[in-house]
Amino acid sequence: MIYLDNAATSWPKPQGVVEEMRRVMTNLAGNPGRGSNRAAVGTAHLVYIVREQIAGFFNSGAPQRVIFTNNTTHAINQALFGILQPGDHVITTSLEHNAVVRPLKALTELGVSVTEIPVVPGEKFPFAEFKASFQKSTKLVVTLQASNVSGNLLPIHKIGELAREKGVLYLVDAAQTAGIYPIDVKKMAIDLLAFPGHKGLLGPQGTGGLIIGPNITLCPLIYGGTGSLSESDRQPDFLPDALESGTLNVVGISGLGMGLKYIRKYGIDNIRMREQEKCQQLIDGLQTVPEVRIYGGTNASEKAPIVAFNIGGHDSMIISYLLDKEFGVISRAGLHCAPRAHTVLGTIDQGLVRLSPSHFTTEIEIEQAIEAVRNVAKELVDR
Amino acid sequence: MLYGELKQYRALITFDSLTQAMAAEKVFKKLDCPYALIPTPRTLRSGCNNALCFPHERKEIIDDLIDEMVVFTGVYEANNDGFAPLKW
Repeated sequence: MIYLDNAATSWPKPQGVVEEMRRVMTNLAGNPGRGSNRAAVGTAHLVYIVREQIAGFFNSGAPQRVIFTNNTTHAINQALFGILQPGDHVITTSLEHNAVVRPLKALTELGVSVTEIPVVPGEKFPFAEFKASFQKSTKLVVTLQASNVSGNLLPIHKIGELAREKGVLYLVDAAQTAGIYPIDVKKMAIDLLAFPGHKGLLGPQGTGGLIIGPNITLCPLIYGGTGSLSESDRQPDFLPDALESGTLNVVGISGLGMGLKYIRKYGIDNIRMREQEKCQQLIDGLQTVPEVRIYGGTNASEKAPIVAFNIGGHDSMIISYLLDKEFGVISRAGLHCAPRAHTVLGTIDQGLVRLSPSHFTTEIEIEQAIEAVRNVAKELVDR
Repeated sequence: MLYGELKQYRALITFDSLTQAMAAEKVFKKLDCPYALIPTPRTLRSGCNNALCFPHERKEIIDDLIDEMVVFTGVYEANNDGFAPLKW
């Protein structure tokens, strides 16, 4: 099998991730904050260390303002429902994942209004339109950093600065960039950062988080036990407890911690450059295959490690199916939970095929994947 | 009633959240100050079910906690009758 779907979830995980999870599951795994026994305190330490690691990794300062969630979607929902009230206005883009689109849709039904800035992958961000979209009631700007469909990046630094000038909060969806591009929430004027633990940060599925900037208070998405203030019916108002009700995924968090350690050791720039090299190799190879069309530009160094393509007008799902069934190449086809991005790209009916290597992917695997696409293209054209 | 290391240490600090207790532990470790994480006494319950006790003679460490932005809800001196606010 040649696994080229790291944009969905990274695989394999670095050495140490699985071992650490096994160690925690075997030796510790008490419930942090639930009592003073050594099992509970042991896992509380573990969780705190990873919280600190994350705060350091994104330069966010106070560890207690890092909230663990199940995934990026959970983090985005916590941020959106935690901030927005009826009458508030939000600015977003046409590239967003359903993790943003759907909660915003639900919020519009509660009286929140949304402006969607039309962004075409690979083309310049329309700053004039963005600036003109601010209203008196604008409370939040929410954008992804890189499109999960085409890998194209948004200029989040400048978007953040403009939002800050207007006194508006900025939420970034870093699903495709955390652990691949360095993110400094202070320097980049990011107020809220939603990130996955199981993609670029190389931890297990079921992990993710939200970083909350200073002086921002969010209403909880989930209420319940926190191991603190137990005598009160009221949800604690201090972080992280206010937004972390219920038992944490301690085993997953321990694996995430090892993923972060690995990235620090290997170097985030080395990881990104290796991945972009593999993407460039893919792009160059795919361009030699008749009828292949590549989306979002052909310069891999300007994008998250994603290569999006189609073969003629053929259904992307069939291309992906044949790549897997006949050649063992794992890709992701269809709409990638981002129908608006596909509308902009003109692929809403056909979908497209996404290949996303990791830094573990070898040159030989990429060569084999290119040949697999060549064979599938031939098979489809000859039909 | 005094229990665990509190019998010996006699100083206690309480927190709203366990995360703050963890942040405090880091300061104690850095300054090589002995401490123990113990259940928060019922009479002082203030959020977190765990409190840190430490030697009374090291009470100046409270200033270091403040410098390190650790949020705590109270500092107490333990005696045989109960707990009194600790002055440092």
